Amino acid sequence: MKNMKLVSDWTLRCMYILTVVSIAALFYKVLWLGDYETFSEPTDETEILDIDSEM
Amino acid sequence: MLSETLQLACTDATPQFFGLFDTSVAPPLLFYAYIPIALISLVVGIFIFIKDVKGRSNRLFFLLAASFTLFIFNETQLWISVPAALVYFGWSLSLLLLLYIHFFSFYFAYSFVYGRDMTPFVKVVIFCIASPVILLLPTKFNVSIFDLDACEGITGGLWYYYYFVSCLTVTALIGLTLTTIFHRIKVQDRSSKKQSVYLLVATAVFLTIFSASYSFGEITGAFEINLVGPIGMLFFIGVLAYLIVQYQAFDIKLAATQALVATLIIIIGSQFFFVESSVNQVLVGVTFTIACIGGYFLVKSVMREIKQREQIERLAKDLAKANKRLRELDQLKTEFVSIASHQLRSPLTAIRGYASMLVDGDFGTFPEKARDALMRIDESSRFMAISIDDFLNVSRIESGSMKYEISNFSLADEISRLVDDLRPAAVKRGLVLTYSSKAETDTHVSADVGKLRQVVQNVIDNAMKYTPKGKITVTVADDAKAKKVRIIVQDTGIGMSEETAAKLFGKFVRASNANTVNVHGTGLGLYLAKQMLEAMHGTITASSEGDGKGSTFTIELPLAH
Repeated sequence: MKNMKLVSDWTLRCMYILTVVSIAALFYKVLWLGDYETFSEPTDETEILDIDSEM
Repeated sequence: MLSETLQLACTDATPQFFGLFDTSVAPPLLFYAYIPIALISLVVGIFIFIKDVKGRSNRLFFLLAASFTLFIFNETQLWISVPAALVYFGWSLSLLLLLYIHFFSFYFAYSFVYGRDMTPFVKVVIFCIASPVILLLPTKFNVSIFDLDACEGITGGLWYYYYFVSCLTVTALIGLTLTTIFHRIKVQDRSSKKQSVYLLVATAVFLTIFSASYSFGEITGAFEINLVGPIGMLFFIGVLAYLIVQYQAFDIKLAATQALVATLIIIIGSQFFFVESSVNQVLVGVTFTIACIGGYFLVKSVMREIKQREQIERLAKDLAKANKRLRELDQLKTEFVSIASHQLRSPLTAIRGYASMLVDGDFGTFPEKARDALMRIDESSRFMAISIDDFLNVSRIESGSMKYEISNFSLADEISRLVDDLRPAAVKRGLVLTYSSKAETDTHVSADVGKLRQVVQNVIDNAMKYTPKGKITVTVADDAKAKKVRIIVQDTGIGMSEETAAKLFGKFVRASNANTVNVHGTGLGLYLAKQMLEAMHGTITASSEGDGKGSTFTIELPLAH
């Protein structure tokens, strides 16, 4: 009985603690270190503008 | 470090506010739909929480409203942020907030329906399901890469896991709804069951609309579809408001009304900051004033209604208490009558026995005067025994301990025998007692012979007592169509008024003209007759054409099959 109560009390507490740790890790990784991958389509704006002006 | 990471910006936006946000890229619905809905849910959540800070359902609803509001603000931030890091952070956080909305929705519905906390097993299952999302939140499984041109995160495999979890939550809620409908779980009463079903359906509908819109938005990349999601919350809040008003859920009818009025006024008031033309400002001003006045009267009327309800509840409680006390007193009276009657019965049996033996001459002969006195003792003790038996029978009926031995017998034969037994007593009084049967079929009934005999004897005895001269006719007739048999006892006695006939079968009731014929009685005979007949599925009625015109008593019993 006592063990069940312990499980009942601590399961969700662990989940909340893990959530806080995870958010902190995300914050540190993305906003602090800027450690994430980005990509940008190689577009040639000048070329597009030229085509537009010719039309 | 933070300022450096915020320098990389999305290419499709230009920062206007604080060098971080560009509102021009966001769809207008974002401000007019998302933010008011988030505000309404948060205000309702806070009011429910304040009403009972320690109530589990109250706390869980507040946490659900808070998660939803955080999610909406995060979504708004995603639409208007210019720094790529901020958008990436918000995109990653979305998944966690979505998960928590599902978790608190289920937890709240569970707590509301069962009225208790989740079992350790359910908690462990939820922990196992939620762990992958929480642990993998800062990884590439969540948002794998960021598209700077479209200013969008490219979602990873974890999102497909979330789609599975959302389906699981909705399925669990549907399961809980079906279980509630088909009585598998204990709910206090019918209204609690209705409340539970409404709430579960509302939660399931909310989560279905919410998850479906986000799943489609994310999968197809048409993020405008996401804007439909929060409408589900509006439906959920609507059902909650209905439960609060109709069933006094959370006991916060007044608080909820105040919250809704306050939200309405804030939303209308906030329009002042958006509208520019003076005509629109006047229109907003008029709407604002009407909302304030209407809100004031609404809150006042709800307050009045609550006061009335509380008064009625208090009165009902007092009445229930008084009723309980009366029942206790009635029970005490029944017990007292039962004990007293038992105590009187034993010595009376001895008095009756010895008086009878003395009258019969078992102890020698007595002078005529003494014999007269002994006969009076014998007769009075007989009356007293009948009265005590009546009291005992009443207490048995009221305490539910009266036993009936049901058997199948011919009613016509039994009544014929009874009339023969009673005829000498009638003759002694100078009366004619006749019996006739008009039954066309078999008159078998299922009843207690002894009790039925007692009832009919009581009615014939009464007829003899209240008939100074003339005759008494006992007739047995059947009604094959209605499958009933009747015993009709008709006399030419003192009769009774219509008023007396109506109340004759009550406890301790005697005809108003009973004293004119000097009849002894407790007023319990006909009450007992009615109670006994009802227990045997029969009825008894009395009728008379008026004082001095005789009476007719009709006993009706169902025929045996």
